[in-house]
Amino acid sequence: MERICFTRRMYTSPQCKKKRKTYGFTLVELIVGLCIFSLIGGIVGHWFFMQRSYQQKILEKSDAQQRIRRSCWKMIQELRTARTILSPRVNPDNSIHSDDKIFFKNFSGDIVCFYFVPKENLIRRCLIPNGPGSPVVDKNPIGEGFSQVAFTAQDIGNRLVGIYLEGNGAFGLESVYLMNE
Amino acid sequence: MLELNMKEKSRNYICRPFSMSGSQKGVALVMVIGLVTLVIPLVFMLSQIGSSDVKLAKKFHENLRAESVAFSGANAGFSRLKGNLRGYQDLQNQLIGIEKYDLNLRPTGEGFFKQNLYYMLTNCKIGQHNYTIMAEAEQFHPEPDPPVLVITHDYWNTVEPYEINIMADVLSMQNYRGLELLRLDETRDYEKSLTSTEYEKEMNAKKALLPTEIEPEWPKVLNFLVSEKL
Repeated sequence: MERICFTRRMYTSPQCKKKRKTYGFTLVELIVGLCIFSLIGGIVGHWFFMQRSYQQKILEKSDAQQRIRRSCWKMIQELRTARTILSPRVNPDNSIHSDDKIFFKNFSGDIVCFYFVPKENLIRRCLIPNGPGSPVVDKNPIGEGFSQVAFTAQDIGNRLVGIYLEGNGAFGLESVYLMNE
Repeated sequence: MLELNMKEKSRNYICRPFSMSGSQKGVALVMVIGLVTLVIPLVFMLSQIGSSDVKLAKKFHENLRAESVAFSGANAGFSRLKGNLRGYQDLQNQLIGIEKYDLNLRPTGEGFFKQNLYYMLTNCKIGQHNYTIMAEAEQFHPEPDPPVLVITHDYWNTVEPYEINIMADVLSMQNYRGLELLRLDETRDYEKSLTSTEYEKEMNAKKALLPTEIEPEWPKVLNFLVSEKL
């Protein structure tokens, strides 16, 4: 089998011209090498892009989880020092029920409502003054990207509140106990 | 001729890897560079998958730990008062497991029933996360045997990086909490100043101004508000 001379020096060298052989790879070797290289490259490339899309999914889920946690955290901060839960409350027969909004009297005695807006998939906060003044809805939402929200009050005196949030395949369940009377 | 070729082959490809010709070195170099360019992004990508998740989880875990430790610290303060320990108590770098917290029991005077009044402050800082709890505590007589009756109320918390051992910070926190307590007085006075009918009427007038999502619930909420009016 004839050998291909790779470099210019090889072509021009008297040895190469004379014998047309010695150094370098044959065409078949090159083709096989390229095939193996491209096969490995293809497999690795495919795996790389698969991993990238997988990573993207993980990041999206992490973001959703983080949004859920942050939103819960914000609501818990205010609920923990709240005075009383106004709605939803434990039913007269002691059964519980959930709602996608919660009304409570905050530390200062004003009425606060966290409510779910299904059209925009977000939770908003509305402050209703327990006195003269109009209700004010916060400009920035508590959190966004939710598909389901549920608040549940439990315990005697409705002092234990469960918060369930779901969105983008992630969900979070937190509970908070009201410390103030 | 065949023998000669075989000899050459073995000499070039097998026996002397470090005495490659120029073209072989070039090919080897290309292969090494190719492998490196494949491996580096892979390693980088894998490290990113791990770190982003871990960072998020760690951050939130720190947040929760700071809060939990601060609450445990508040319970420790509560227990100290129940155990009949009296007077100013400034306890720094107390441990719950491996986490540190500060506890400050600051006497503020004597109550109507001769009970000792305290500001109970607890603070925990983990990483970048701060959690401070402030509450009022009343430590009742009669002495001497613990546990004595202790009532805590008006819990207030903040995630701002206050130091409970620095007087200026404590005053600042008291001011913020004081503002909210003043507002509490206002809301209570408002409720007391009106009859149930007047209160219901005033609060019902807000219905039209509520967002549409919560407006239907308002009558039910209003019933509770009126029934629990001061």
